[in-house]
Amino acid sequence: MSDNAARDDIAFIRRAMEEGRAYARLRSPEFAVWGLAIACGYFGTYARVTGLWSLDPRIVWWVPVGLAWVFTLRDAIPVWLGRKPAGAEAPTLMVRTLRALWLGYGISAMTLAVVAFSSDMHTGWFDAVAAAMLGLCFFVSAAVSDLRWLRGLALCWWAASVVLLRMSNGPEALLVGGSFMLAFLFVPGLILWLRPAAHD
Amino acid sequence: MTDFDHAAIDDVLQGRVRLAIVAFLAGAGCVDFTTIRDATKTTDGNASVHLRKLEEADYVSMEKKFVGRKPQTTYTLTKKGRQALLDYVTHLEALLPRDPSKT
Repeated sequence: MSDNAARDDIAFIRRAMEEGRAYARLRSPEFAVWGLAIACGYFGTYARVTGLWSLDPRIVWWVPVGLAWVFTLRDAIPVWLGRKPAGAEAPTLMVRTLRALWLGYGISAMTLAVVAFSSDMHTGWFDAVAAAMLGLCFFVSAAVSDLRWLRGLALCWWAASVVLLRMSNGPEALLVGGSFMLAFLFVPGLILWLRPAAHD
Repeated sequence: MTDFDHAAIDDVLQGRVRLAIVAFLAGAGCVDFTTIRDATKTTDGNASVHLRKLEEADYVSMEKKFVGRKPQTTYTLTKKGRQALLDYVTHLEALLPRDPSKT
């Protein structure tokens, strides 16, 4: 076996392990948790707007979204608080790409949400922009993880973005937005999470 | 002439598909058959044959169960399989010339 053959084999093993780690990362329950949290926000706001209950919309948004952030950062928080040492394993490029992509999406969406809903701006655009960004994230995730069906999910989110953009800013948009979250984030999240038991 | 020992190379991991399966499982954990087949870009029959060889070598463990009426099969890398992969990489690295800047 030559030096080049040995290098090729090591690179091959590294690639296969990276694919495995990317798969494991995409299998985590984050998508399902966030899909449910945001859907709670939409449906809770719809209930308030239509008079079904009198709960403050800020509560129906910030409580589930806050819990979802705590869930997402469940491994990082003990490290930040100094109660747990940082993991010794260096994340691969693929895992870092997925982590950066989805964390970047979360920060972008939260920033836009805070700016849009704390000002007098017309906020009808926000749902459409957030949906289009989700399409982009799923498209990149599909390419990185080689899970082709995620590309279909990207197309669904881009179509959802057009639907949300063309809808009036009425209560029905909240129902549609919440339904999109359940259908295109919560349900695929469950499928990804339960994937080892959901195939074959 | 080098001090490389060909006999030390693991025959089970010599096949590319088996090597890919073991490396993929090392990163992924517990994985279903379809995902392994897709990740290694092989066919049902080919993946089955290689997974059976890995099972016989005790490198992967298989679990079959029923959820409702549907059979479900998942595979996990065993400790022996993980150690075999580590040993294989160590042998490969032994083939490469040492970096003089690190000595």
